[in-house]
Amino acid sequence: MLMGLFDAAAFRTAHSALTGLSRRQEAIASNIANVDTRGYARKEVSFEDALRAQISDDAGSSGGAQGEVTMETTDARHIGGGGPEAGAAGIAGSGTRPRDVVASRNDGNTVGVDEEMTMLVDTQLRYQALSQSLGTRISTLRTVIRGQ
Amino acid sequence: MGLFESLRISASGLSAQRMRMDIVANNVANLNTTRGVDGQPYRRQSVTFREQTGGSAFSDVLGLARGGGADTPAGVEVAGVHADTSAPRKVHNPSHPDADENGDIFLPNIDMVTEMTDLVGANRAYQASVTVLNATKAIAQSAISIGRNG
Repeated sequence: MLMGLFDAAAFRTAHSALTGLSRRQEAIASNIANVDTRGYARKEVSFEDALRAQISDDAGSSGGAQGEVTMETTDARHIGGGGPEAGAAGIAGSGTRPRDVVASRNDGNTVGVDEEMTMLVDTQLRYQALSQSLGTRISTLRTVIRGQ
Repeated sequence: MGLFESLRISASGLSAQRMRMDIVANNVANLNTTRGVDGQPYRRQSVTFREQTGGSAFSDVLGLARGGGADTPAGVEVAGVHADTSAPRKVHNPSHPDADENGDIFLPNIDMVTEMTDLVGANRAYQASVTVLNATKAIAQSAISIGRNG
């Protein structure tokens, strides 16, 4: 019961998601800053798949205290990770990559400001929702510890 | 450092766009300058940007060592300020002190419409970076307040 309350996997998942979202925020900042840079390729961060894999790994090993998190290596340059600490690192390193699209502008820049702004609001709301729910969870724990 | 890096990137966008505005201001201010620094009519200047290549953070160095290239978002910087090499405008004005023997003066190759559109572009790009900066700030504040109350 107590172990269920101090569920490390939930915290780890939230931590990973927050890390991924802050990486996405970084990519958006870079895209907007480079809105007038000739030939700039828009950066995109996708971490949802890695996160999903991590969650299912956690669920698969729910009998144990902590789930093993491993990183899939699909490229020779990837570093295969493992162990419970690898989750956040896996998210932090997950694909920031230039997107393969044909530039619609003469200068070869693939940034669309409207798209970035939508992404910005999306990221911001997700981050705030997640940090709020994490705060709620922590305050629940605090209530349990204080016993009031 | 995730969010602080975002702030730095947005700041690089702000200073790059401010530089562009400075150049536009200089061009407009020198609209009728017949004596530039070299004695010739002032030449229109334009600014070019380039993507910053990686930082000195461990992850950037590691990424480069692994041959991944600069895939970390790294902001923007001014690549250079270039003089427009197009010909100056020739205006017939014999009473002007700088008129040549034919009574012509040469005015800078500045087109007000181009400068104004450039100014609006810089303005909007600056505002976009400010928006991102504010969003990052809001995110950082919500991160700071995790587990603060209760």
